[in-house]
Amino acid sequence: MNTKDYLEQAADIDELDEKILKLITRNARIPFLEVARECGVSGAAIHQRVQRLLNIGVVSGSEFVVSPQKLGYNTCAYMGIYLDKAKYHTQVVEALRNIPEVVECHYVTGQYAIFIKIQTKTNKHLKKLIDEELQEVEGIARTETFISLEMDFKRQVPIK
Amino acid sequence: MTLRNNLDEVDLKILDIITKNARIPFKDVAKDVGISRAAVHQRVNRMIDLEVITGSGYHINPKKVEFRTCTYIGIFLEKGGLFSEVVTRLKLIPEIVECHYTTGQYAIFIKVYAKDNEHLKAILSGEIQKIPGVASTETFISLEESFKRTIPVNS
Repeated sequence: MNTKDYLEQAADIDELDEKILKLITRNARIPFLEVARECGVSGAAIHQRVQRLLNIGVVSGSEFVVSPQKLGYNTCAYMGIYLDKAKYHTQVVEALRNIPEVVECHYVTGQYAIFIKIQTKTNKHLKKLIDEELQEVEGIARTETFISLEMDFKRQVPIK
Repeated sequence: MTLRNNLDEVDLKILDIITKNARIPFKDVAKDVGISRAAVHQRVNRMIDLEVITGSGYHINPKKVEFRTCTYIGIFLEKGGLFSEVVTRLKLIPEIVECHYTTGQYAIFIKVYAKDNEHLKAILSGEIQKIPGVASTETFISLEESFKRTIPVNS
């Protein structure tokens, strides 16, 4: 864990940055010249701005978005995890990190200690994962699973 | 239905590379995979047509654009039949970034980014709980996102 996490400041970004962000978060391969034209500045300026946004961590990279279903990942589930003792948190997170099907992991307030998102190929695969991997993790007392029957939408945070 | 069978090793290799860096020149992908640049283009376009690839984008770090509070919220409905109306209304709230229809105690499960707790409270009581059909909500604030990644492509 980064000890400076709690100090993380919002970055200093202006209207031009926001305009650029809006365009490149929708299409990572958009030619920077096209972004430049839309924003009314030079291509070099866009390059510079994007590099700065990367440097200060506002954007952390780019990706092609894949459809989990088309890759055979048909089951999406959320799971709340209860721990035997709160102090097991770090070691449990480390164990979860080693399970590639666990795609998200949060330390949450409320009844659960840890909250994760899992993508598996089938319900059977999910059951196997819970049985053979998750329940084997030392420190996990019990789990509660919510299967997502349908993802209605998924998007990024709004840019003003 | 899965289209995984329509994808060969080369497709999966390409996916593995471009899901990690969308702006990598296809020339470099071609070199890595050992096929021509034109073939990479063709394969990517095919995967777009097959909807294996649904888009591309830069990742924003929510904290750096002032969204410091990440929350999961379980929603209980007055009646199950109100589901689609409620989802339509939820979609209009831009701070909600994900929305699922789930099994278990909640009818709908959403992920929300807010600027701070006050903003979260405004979204909860001022917007979500005002939607007709929403009976009650349960909120889990994420104090730390330990990790976030995409599904394993090569398995």
